[in-house]
Amino acid sequence: MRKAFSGLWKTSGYFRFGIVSISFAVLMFVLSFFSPYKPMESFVVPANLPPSLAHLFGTTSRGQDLFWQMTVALRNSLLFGAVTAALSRVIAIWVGMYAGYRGGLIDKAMMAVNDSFIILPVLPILLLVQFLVREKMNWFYMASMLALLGWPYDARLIRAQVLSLKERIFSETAVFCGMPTGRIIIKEHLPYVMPIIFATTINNFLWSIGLEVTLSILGLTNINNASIGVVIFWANQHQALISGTWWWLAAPVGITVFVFAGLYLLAVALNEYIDPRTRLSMKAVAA
Amino acid sequence: MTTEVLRTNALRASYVTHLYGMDREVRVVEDVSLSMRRNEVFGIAGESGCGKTTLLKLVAGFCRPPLFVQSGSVEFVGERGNVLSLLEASPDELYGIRWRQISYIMQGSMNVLNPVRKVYKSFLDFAYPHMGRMTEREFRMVVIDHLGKLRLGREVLNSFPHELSGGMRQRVTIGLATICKPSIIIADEPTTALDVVIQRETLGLMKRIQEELSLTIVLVTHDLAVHANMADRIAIMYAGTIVEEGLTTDIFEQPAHPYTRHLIGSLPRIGDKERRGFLKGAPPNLAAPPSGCRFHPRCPIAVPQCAVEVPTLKPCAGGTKAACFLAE
Amino acid sequence: MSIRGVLGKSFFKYLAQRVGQCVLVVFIGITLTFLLPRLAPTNPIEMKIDQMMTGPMRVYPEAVASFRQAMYDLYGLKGGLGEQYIATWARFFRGDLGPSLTTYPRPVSHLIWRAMPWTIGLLLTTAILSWLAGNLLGGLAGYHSDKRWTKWVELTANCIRPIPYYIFAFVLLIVFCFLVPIFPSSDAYDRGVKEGLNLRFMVSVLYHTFLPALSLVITGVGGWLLGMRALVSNIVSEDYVQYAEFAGVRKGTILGKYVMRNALLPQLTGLGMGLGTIFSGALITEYVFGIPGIGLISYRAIVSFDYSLIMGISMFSIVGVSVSVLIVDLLYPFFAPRVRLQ
Repeated sequence: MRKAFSGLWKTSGYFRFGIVSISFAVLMFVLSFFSPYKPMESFVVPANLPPSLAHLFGTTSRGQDLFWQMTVALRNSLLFGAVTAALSRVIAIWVGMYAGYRGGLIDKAMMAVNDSFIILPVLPILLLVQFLVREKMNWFYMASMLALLGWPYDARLIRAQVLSLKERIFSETAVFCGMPTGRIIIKEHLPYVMPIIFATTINNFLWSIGLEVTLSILGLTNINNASIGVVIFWANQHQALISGTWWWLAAPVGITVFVFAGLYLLAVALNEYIDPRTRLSMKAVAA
Repeated sequence: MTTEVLRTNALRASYVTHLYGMDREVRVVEDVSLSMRRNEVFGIAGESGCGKTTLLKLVAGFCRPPLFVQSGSVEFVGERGNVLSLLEASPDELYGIRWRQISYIMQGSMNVLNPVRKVYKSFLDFAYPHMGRMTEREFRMVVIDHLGKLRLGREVLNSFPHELSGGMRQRVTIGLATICKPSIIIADEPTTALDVVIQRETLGLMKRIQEELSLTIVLVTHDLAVHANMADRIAIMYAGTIVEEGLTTDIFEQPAHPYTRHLIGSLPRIGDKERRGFLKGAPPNLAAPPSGCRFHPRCPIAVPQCAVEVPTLKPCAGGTKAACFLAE
Repeated sequence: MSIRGVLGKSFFKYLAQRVGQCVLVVFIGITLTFLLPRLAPTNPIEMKIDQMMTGPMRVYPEAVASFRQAMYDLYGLKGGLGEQYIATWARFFRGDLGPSLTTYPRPVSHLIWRAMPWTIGLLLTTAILSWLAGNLLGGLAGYHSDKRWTKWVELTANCIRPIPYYIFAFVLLIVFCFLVPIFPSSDAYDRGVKEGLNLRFMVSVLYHTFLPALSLVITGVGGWLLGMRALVSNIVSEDYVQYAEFAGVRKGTILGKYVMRNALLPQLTGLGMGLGTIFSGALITEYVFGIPGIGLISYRAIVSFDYSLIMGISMFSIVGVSVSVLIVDLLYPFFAPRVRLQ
């Protein structure tokens, strides 16, 4: 493990960037618990101050310290993404593996429903829900909703892997040896399924945060609960650009870009490492 | 016309990878010197993983990372005696001889043709540029005629590869490789995936074409029976090195190297009731090959010298050349 | 691409399967839009009434009562759940999506009809443009993966891809509408210009939609580029490509007819699925640049409590996506001779 980490660190710029980005996110996450201000309280500090040592990201037109607000906002957004990713993993694994192992008519039926959920347009349905629930929407429910809409693509991937595993000789051998089905699934097959689960987790994570930010920017979520999108929403409400408080917009946008890009590049680096073909095709140093 | 058409000189090549802190060098071709003559079938025999396919690719002048040539060369001798070093030639020089002088039949005909292109288009892509001054209509007639000799009808031209059976695809590949009447055809396990009946037909076809056009075939297969039928001379390969080389009859009747002896000995004969022996051990890991003679860990007659020095090919009593200290 | 080759018994089986899937999606989708409001803790009609009553206009109680009656009637909120469900389907097949609450009694379908061309125009063109550009660049990058410039291309694509599309929308807005004001920042065309197929209108539209389109293309290219590059680098090691290279087939031919043609097939499916997302609209892009497309009217519907409009848009999107996916699925076998219609 350590060898892999140091190997990746030395060779892959993407990996380095990703690790730096994650470290930053973790740092902000931890700091958020030490924030001296309540996140959405207004006028606790002088308003519209540009970034300085006293206020690292400056202050907003509502008299809030942007740096401490961003730590909480980032924490909430990350938690949101994590909850969605975790819940949708559970559904995806369950559906994918059950359909794959069961096969037959049940598999066909499940996949038909699965594909329907892939095709269904997520945003209009989300908007409909937003319309109906409004301020009563708390972020946990929203995360669950996104989990309910985000599993089908990954379920298909898992099912495909399960199907190919079933065909493999080592599975037949295990069955012949009298290994109980549950043990086969957990001991023999799960190690092959895990990389897929892992690869799709980061994507799912980013997707759900992206959606949350989209809705928050428009002010359609609970705007009193700090998240990255909510901060941007308030910045827009107060015409941050025109009134000159550019840092109010720059901080959330910059952090979004940094964290998103970092996580994504990390996923790319790890995928390259896991895939044996990319390892072989990398240029060799002359012996 | 010279007798030699293609030769390798002390060729050494390896797969080199350097990744995530791990360096690996797989020494897949080690000090191989072969000489192929005009108008012969030259067979290379060996088990899976001994480096045959890599050797063939190099012989054809096709070397891509992570495969690197460490030393040695491959030389093609033209009709007028001009020599072209294939691994160092420029793309233009290579283009001049590819397909017209050297053609290649790849292992497994399943996937060698572009799945989204009709068979005739593949002929146009591969062969037409090398046919000299010929109109497209003339070329089409030539192709139809050529495929006819292989007992393939006109409709094959308009088909996609997946619409043809395995045997038909194999014949198309042979047709593709022979239509420009090259001096040398390199064939990598051309019939391994086919059933015995088709195999016999295909091999017979190849032999006929070889005799008709007086060309050279370099035939690689692990199946010694095929070599017995087709090859004039054979080289036996083990773990990246050539261990024995000679006329087919000599190899079969008086093998000198212990490995060859074992291979020939393991061929079943009608009426034979004895149990066959088997070699202990397994083929070596080419990333960390044995010192000295690569065969010595499994050799039934190895002596201490075998682990220290590398034997070279020397003429033996039976008429073959073998790389073994105990065979001279 | 032979039609005769494709239309066989297996094609009709495939057709039936795809149509069945489309029907299933529409069924699940419409049922969902039926159930959600009835499961929600709020009553949209009461919300609208509340909003009206707290507005600047005076509202008479009798008017409110008859409005409430009319709305309950209209949305079939009378009768049991089963009756309502059947009534919803009846209205669906009639194409009757009800009147918009904010621009009463203008039918919702009318509003959607007016907004649709903007969204479809914007998103269809940008989807196709980014597909073409991304695949071309990705194919070249994958084939010439040993050259230096491909590393830069890949890096740029990797950096752009995870960034949400609205960031680009914001950045372009800031740079080209405020800092260096070349482009207009709102509306799809200048106010004084008459709509229609006249040159002035079209130029005005192009001028106004250039920035939003650009932001969408930038966002979209990255994904296609990386996907194509991965596909191409796999295909390059396939037997038939290596064989063609060995035989000295011209590089251009290999790139075009051996590599790209095979790599584009899966990308076509991807395009098909991507076309379906048009109906999600590039919501924030439309919002930021004021393009009156479906995304923008959805937003306005939410803000003004226009229940019928939101329901109409949901239904419309569901049907729209299913049908476009169906069309793409049906066209696919004509492009892929090896596709097994399974």
